[in-house]
Amino acid sequence: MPTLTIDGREITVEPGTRIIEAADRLGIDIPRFCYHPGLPVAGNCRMCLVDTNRSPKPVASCWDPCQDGHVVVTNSPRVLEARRSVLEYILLNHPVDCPICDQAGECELQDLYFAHDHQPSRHPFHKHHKDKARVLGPQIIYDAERCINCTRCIRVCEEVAKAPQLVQVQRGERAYIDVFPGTQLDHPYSMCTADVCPVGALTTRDFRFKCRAWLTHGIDTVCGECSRGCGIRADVYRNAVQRLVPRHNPDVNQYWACDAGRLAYHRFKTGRVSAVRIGGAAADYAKGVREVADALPGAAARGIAVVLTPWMTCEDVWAVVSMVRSVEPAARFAVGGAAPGASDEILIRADKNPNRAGLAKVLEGLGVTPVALDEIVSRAPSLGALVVCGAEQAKADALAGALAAAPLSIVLAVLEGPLSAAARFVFPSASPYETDGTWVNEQGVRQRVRRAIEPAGDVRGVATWASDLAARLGMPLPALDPAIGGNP
Amino acid sequence: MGDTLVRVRDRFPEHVIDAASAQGDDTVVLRREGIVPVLAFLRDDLGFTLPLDVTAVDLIGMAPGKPESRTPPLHPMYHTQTVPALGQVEGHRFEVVYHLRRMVDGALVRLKVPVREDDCVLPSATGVFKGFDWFEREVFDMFGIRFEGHPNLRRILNYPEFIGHPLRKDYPRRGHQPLLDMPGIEADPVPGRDDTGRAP
Amino acid sequence: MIEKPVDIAPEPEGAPTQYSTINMGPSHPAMHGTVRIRLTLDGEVVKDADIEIGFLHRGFEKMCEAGTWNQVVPYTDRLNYVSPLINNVGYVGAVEKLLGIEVPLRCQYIRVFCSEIARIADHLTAVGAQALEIGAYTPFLWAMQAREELYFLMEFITGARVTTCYTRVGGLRWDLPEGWQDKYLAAEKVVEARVVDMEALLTRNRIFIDRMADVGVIGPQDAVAYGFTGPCLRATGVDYDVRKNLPYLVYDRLDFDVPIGTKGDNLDRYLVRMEEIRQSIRICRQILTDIPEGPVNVDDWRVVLPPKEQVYNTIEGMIAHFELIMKGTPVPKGEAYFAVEGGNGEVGFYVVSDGSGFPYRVHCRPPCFAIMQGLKDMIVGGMLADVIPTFDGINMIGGEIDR
Repeated sequence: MPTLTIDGREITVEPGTRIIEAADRLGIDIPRFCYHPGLPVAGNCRMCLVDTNRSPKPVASCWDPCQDGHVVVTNSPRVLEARRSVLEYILLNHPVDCPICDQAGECELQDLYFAHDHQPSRHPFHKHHKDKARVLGPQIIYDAERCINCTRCIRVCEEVAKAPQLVQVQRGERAYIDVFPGTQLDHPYSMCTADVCPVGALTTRDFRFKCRAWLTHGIDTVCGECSRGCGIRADVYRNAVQRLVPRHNPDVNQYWACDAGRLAYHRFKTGRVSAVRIGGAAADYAKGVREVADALPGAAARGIAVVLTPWMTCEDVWAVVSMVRSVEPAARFAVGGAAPGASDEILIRADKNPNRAGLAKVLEGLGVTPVALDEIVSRAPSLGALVVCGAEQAKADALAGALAAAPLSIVLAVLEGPLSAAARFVFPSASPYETDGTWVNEQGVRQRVRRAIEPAGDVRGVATWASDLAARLGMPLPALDPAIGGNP
Repeated sequence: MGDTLVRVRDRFPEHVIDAASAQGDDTVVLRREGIVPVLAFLRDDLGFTLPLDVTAVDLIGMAPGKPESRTPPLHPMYHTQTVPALGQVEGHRFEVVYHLRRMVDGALVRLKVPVREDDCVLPSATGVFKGFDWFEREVFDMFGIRFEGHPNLRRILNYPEFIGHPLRKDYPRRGHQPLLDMPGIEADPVPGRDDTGRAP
Repeated sequence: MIEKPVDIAPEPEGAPTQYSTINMGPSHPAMHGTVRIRLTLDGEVVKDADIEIGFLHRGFEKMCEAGTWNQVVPYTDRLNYVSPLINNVGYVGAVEKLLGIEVPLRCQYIRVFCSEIARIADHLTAVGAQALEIGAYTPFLWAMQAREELYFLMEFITGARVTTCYTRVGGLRWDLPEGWQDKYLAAEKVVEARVVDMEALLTRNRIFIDRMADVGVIGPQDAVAYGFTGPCLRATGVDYDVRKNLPYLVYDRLDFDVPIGTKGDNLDRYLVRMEEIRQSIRICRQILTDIPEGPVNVDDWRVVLPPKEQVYNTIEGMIAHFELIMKGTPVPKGEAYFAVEGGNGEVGFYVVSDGSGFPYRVHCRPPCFAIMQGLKDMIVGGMLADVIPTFDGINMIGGEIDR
């Protein structure tokens, strides 16, 4: 276990640890472009040079492993001049694009220049021009002039996505990134290349020119497109999600997220159920809750069945089960959910529901054994009431038929579809970006989903709806933490 | 004289937490029990007779953020919430800062007193310097820190019915106060507007 | 309501008397910048006074936390709005102290020059208003005429008469324009002439002396205990001027005297101010000859915006401009107190930084805040009619005291 000293501070690390990792642990910031903790080391940007006692020249701290007795200095005049020179070289041909570059405001080149160089240009000649706005793939557009050739994107494709679609071509100041002829950058993690790009060379079609980074504020939440539950951050401006970027979570998704999950927010922009409907006619939320509360006890005699879906948060499940059982203790619960889909070895899982494990845990804790979904569908006409929590179902048509057949049918839907057309009572439900609660992913990791945007009108989270109904039924549920699923 | 710090620390070792020079200004961090004796010592023995200023700083904005803190936008102008994401503070939340001047050579001394949020009371310095009267009222008005022994501790810049303490970091930049009932004034509603003056 | 003590003069038959409470302000032509004095009077004698301020409180200190370090400068204009340049100089001085940088020599001379013409404007306003409110209308108009010349000069230099916003952290908005010396000399001629005229009408005027001498007296111990600074303190005989005792910028190279009074009454305050106008003119004349050539801004793009040709044509200039506007000049974590001599006394700026480009806390120590604490002592026991000249003699500026 080597012990080394960085800027006078001692640290003991595992063998093989790079100096830059040890410095990060100590909180000493060594600037870097090509080094990324989730990618293999390249060592081509030369920004991380530090002075050590083991070498007459400065060494690249991203590559050099820590040795016992190493004395590292990160702020000597030679190191500071080295950083300044590297930045000057990078900026020699860099286009004056900041006003139109998406990365402005979150650009590592801007921040490092201001912190370490801040000198006027010494370059009186014309800059070398290259391709701008070159489409590399369905999601990624590349600007060769801004590129600093750090090769993070190439390493993402090779090591994370296991799809070596990008390559560096030409040499020296003419070098740029390209795809092999006849191919494009289309693997399922292509947008991660834009995440790691320290400048605005790689931009996503989804976010390009959409919104300035500093106008948004980011909410840490979880992706709900599959049972992996990758940590994402929703950047929101004017109560609309502008983009989703992956968050670092060493247990779940490290630094990455798939494109499908990051584009999922588009699905919730149109086609929302906007108002409560009773028998096809719009009504207000209070009236809907009142009528359901009045009708449910009567329906209990013939049996209440509830279809739960695995995108509900654990709090939603608990609230619905508790509320229904207070009306009919022998109510039946089934688990629906979205249809399974493609999966891969990296992050994408076949189960396209985020909270199957959490749902199972809550039901187990409440002592509920779920019945088969088909059983409920077939018995729908003889039931007293059928409640379907969630309209994105694999067996949508069957459930629509069941809802049409049941005497009292209630659906909580985010998007319009066959289920919201079939049920008598339709309640607008909160999308995953308007939901607060916890999901448990397929590994058993419990994660917090946070509300990123405020829902409009009568949209309510499932737990809120259940609590309101329980209160109206005269058997109120214990108050939920208002920060988790308790409001609006 | 550079020995202001030394003399204060030697004379009041039980009250002084720290004594250092910041940007050329002598700064002493004190416990609150030491405020009155140290001020009197500075005035009588070291010649700091001109009371300049009493103010306070709310340190909660510098505390490390909560784990789920939001990505900060670049410029406070773009903060979508008027209250910044605040961290949890351990120990003292406020620092009350006194400035004294020795006119002869223009020397400055700064006293800083850490104050906990749940116990924000300090002994008043008005017994030593009359000139801290209104300054302490302002600290009370803006931060809610009370001064025991102050002859007249009431709000000075804000009106008496004001709710809250505006310079605290958790008071929003665009804070709203409730409208007051103005005694003796007949309601004079403008047709088409509610009583806040806004159109419905 | 104060109870009337029993040893007051016996009442005439059938004429009960009591103390009356009247309200002066806040909407009162003589209550400059709005202040309210609740006076308890026995006839015309002031028995008690409760002074209420805060009518012009605009949340300056809270708004300073809403932008970058340079975005505070326009707010400082609105503090002492009769001498805004002094506030500008004081605030950026505090930030530069915390940054640990020193502005070039030419910039220092220009800042002193601007402070002095602002000081002349401030004193002209104070003396003029004081004369106006005891009935001398003509000297007031002469003072305003002189002040107009100075406003023309300030407009020539900074672009604005009152909201000058001239200094920046690390320098100035721009250098003095060509021909400023002639503009100054033209203004100085008018100012000197008007000052002579005003003194001719006031200084030996029997009525003026009767109204002002031995009125609003405060002793030096009391003044110091209250925290008085500036002309009000110097009128009591205490020799304290930030420019002399704690010289900043280039005041230590300039030759000027600081007038000291003796009695601490209104007349002394008037005389001190009039003499300070003369001394400020003396300083400005020296600057005209002594000012060196050279840059006015620190040569560091972390502090000062790069020139526009660089911003539009080089990536380095573009990035520096972007970072300075969006993130501000990074000021090291810490705190600093910097004081300048304002028209009313020591204007102190206490700034606290958390290491970013946005101020964490900016506090202005207003000189008239401390002086107004002592106003009660100065008017209680005097007559109602003396409240006005005493209050004017303090030259309370609402923007400064309330912030």
